[in-house]
Amino acid sequence: MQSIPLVALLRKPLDLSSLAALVERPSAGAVVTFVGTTRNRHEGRPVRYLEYEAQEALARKELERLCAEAREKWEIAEAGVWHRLGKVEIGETSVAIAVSAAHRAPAFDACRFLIDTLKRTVPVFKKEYFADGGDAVWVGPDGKPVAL
Amino acid sequence: MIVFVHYHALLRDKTGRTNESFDLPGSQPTLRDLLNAFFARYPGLRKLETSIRAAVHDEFVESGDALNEGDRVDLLPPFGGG
Repeated sequence: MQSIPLVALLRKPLDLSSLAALVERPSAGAVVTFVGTTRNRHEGRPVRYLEYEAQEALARKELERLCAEAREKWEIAEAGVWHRLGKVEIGETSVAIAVSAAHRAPAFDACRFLIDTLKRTVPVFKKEYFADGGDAVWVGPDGKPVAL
Repeated sequence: MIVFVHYHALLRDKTGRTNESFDLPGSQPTLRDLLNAFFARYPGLRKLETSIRAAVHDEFVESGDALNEGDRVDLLPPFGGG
């Protein structure tokens, strides 16, 4: 099986343990991981599923830039981010992050930085489809429908 | 000067197209000139004026950056990753 790089946009379920294994290093005593999953409700409406798309070349480049920035800012060994694209069912993982470090504190900080920043700076777009039959909506970085 | 604009996500839904060309006047138009032309063509999307982003050849560009003949410009609505 072809190995997935540390930064990837994938149209299949994300396997957190595979990503965590990719960042493991003999010198790293800590691996911190984060997963974002699809909620079943949004502002009181029942969500049926999500669809993600991206400007893929730019999104990959920006994620790689964020991982490099995390390695500069914190004493970490490695960082990886996988983001799902396409249709994502309720409860599935939409984003997975893993950071390894000699000690846990910088790994936690870098992981937090990556998820907080990617929401604002990486050109990934999310559309929510509802079970109540109402119109699907595009959701912005604040988690709210984009106002027009 | 012709540039080729690609619409993503919300912008594709609202314009009903994946791409179209814009003929910008002047010898050295900027992204700001393109956005002005875009919002003139789609006045219903003006609320996105402060949140829309753009990229040329897979790099982010800012409103004062110059565009060149034949550039592929991606117009990007608010991001929703994570």
